[in-house]
Amino acid sequence: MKFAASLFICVVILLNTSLGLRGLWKQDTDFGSMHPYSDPAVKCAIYAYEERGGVRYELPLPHRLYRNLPGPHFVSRFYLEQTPYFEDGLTAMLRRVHPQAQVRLDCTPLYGLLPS
Amino acid sequence: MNALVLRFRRYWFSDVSDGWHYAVFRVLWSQFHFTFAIYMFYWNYKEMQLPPLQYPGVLSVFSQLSVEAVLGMAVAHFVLAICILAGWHTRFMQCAAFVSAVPLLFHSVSLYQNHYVFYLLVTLYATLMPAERFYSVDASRMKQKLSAAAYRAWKSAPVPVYPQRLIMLQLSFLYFFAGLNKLDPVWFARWSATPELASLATDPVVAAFWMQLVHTGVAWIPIAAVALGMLSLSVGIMYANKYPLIALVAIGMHLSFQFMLPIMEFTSMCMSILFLSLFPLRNRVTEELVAVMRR
Repeated sequence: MKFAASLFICVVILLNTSLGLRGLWKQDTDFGSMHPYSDPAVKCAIYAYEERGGVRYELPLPHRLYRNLPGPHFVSRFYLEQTPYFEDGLTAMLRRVHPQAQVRLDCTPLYGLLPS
Repeated sequence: MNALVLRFRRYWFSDVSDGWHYAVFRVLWSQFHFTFAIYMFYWNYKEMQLPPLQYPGVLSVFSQLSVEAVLGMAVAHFVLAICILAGWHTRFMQCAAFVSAVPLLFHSVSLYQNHYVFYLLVTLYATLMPAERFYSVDASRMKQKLSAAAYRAWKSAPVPVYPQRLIMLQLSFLYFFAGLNKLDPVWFARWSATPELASLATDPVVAAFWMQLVHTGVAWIPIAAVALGMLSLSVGIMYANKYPLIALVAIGMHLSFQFMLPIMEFTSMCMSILFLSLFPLRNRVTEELVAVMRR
């Protein structure tokens, strides 16, 4: 029992250390690490449109945005890698009203950008 | 080498007096079982029409669950939370809560929340705790089942310290890497020189105050203080049972975050663990306080 518990403790220590170091290395933009002490943040703009006859028409965003995103421009604490998932979700939501709707979410991680 | 092994054993595998603090922790932690179940039910219900967004690799198997199944599991998780709070078949219910939390968390990427990964890990370590001896239906049943002497012996038998150490280690890792992250020059420059933090703040007064700090060029001071504070706490919480002031400082830091950022119930999660860090009692003040609480 003590050996199993010691092994478990060692695994916990090694796993936490490696995930933490990986998070530091990737500057917390890598969703794959999924460690609980990360601090992701992205700055995004949502662009919703519909193509009719080769022309793009901008669409209004749904009244209550998907996942409580606060508006067309926002800073949020999710990973950059999650962006396509949010695009998919927003697209599916908008297509209830506009079957041809497309949503583009342009995000930049805050870490990668130094203030100019 | 032998001395190192001995120290490792003593630190991880010594016993502490009865499991009163584990029972209190069980009660404190049960609130997160409730909120996790509600969070999962609410968002899965709200996004019922949307397909789950798959995790990469092996975790994608949880996306195969239907939304109805996930909603059912969220309800079951809520029921498990009631059982854990009441202390009914506590150990089994704690294990079941961990097992049901895994598919709930990994069903869809859109529901990912890093604080709930922390919740999941602590819930796993909590399954190792004998937390049923106080404030529980299990304890009442044992009282009826056993003789008075046997019941007293059951209740006061020493409990292992390693579940508590594992939870504190997890928080220590969290403080360490969060602190180190904040000292990254890019992160540091970004958050102390630009107004983005203000746009994340929920309170307009805090946001305005933060903007003021940015404009006057001193926003680096609280950022540096938080980073160094977290690094110190990563070691300090291991000594909080001797010096409870460390736990008080940590609680103060978390409360100050609470007023600034949308961090869900992370503050109360950490406060529950900081309570645990006061044990085994090695300080006169906390000994007296706990004696009063147990009276």
